[in-house]
Amino acid sequence: MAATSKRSNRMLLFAGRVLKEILRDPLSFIFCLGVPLVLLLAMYFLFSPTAPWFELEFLTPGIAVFSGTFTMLYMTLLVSRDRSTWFLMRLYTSPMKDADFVLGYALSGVLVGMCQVLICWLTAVVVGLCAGNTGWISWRILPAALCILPMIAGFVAVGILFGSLFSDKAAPGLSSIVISGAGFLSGAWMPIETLSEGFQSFCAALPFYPAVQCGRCLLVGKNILGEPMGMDVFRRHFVVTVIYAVVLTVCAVLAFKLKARREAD
Amino acid sequence: MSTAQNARGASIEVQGLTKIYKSRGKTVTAVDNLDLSVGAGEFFSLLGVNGAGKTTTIKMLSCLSVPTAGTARIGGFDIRTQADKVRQIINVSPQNTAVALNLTVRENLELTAGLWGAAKADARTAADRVIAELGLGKTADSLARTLSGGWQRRLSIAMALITEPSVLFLDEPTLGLDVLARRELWNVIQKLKGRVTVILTTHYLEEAEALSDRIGIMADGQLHALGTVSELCALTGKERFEDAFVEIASGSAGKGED
Repeated sequence: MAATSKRSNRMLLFAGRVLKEILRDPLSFIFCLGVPLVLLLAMYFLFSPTAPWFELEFLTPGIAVFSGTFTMLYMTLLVSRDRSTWFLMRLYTSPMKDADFVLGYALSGVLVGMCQVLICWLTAVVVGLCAGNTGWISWRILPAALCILPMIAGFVAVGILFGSLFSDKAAPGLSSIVISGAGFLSGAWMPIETLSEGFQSFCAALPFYPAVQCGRCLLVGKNILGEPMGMDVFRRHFVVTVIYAVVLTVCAVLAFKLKARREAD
Repeated sequence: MSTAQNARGASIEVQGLTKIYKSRGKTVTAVDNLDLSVGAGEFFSLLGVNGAGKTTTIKMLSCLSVPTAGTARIGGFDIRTQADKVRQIINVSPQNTAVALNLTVRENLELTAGLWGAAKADARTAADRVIAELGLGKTADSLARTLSGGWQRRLSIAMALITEPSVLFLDEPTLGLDVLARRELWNVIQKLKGRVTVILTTHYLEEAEALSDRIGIMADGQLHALGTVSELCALTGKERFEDAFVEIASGSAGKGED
């Protein structure tokens, strides 16, 4: 029992350190908050009069998911930089286990990612999102914001995965490929429903589009074409994001164990 | 963290320690059948040219790297089968910057103490002690990334000391520092003598000469000679330690003795 408590203390201490590193780096604010908020506000004010999918009800879940890619980028930078500075090498000589490292990174990453998502939704509310016909802010906003959690966990896992496998020069480049992919394939600001069925199926098989659809399901219960999306659609998309989150987390743990940790050898 | 009974360090017994790397069909023996005995509280230096096997030896002894053959016991614990126990009683100051750059000096110290198992209050007390001991008071609340190279090394050693290790590995602690910073760090390291078993690797011969109780000279993964400075000079018939080192490291002198 005491040993378990000491282990969780170590993990939490390490997570605290990661959190401090993130919060004290101005880059993290630019990446994790600045870019998504600018995108949200610019797209809403510039394009919402021209196309329905730029209305806050559809745009906010999309930008919230897309903002998670910047948490992934930051985690990639952090893990790969830790490897390059020998700081991790020192900690490998401590009584910490591999799982403590990965959980420490993941916990702080998910925390930052969810704060980022909530700020994104809050900004949308301030700008005018109410998601209902009454003019009052709908309770539906909260579950719509929280259902992105598995996707955020998946992005954090990809960040740890890239940071463990690649150098601090190569890893950010790979992350930007995922960022671009998520931007196009999530349907955050692109009407995927109007494209070919084959392309729709491809997007639905990846986690980005399902994550956005989950948010839209819970928020307005319809897609950008106005077709209703019930709980059965939500469940189908949500399961996809959860499966990706679990698989990517396992991959991140294995990558850290097999690559990052073995570098010390 | 180690207890008061370990305050004078722990002994190290190395038997047939070997590390072989295989890469693209090539086999490189980094450490070859190393036998070594270091007493509790001894200040022991490992010297050798680049690629001699010093850092690989330290990596194996600090449980970072798994030996291909042989083993070692640190404070009675086997590095292969009791790595968790070994990790509790050792600490390492690696040869490169190994501090969390966006944490303050104090935060780095408290984090290290906590990761080795100290409770929050104990970690704070230990940080105060080490800050005072190593003269880090003026920089205690500065972020590590704002410190000069010399002060970062000093912090790195402080992070290794805060856990009160029985055995401390210092891997080229003064590499790349200017003469003044190096001398300051020597004074810090000198204070450790007798309190803790220290294994130091360095390229600066005068550093090893000034600080060490005994010196081992490695070349091609093997221990070529072992003894005090005067014993090594006598072995080679040289007056200056530098000349003795060159002769041993280049393989001209007779192989190991004690």
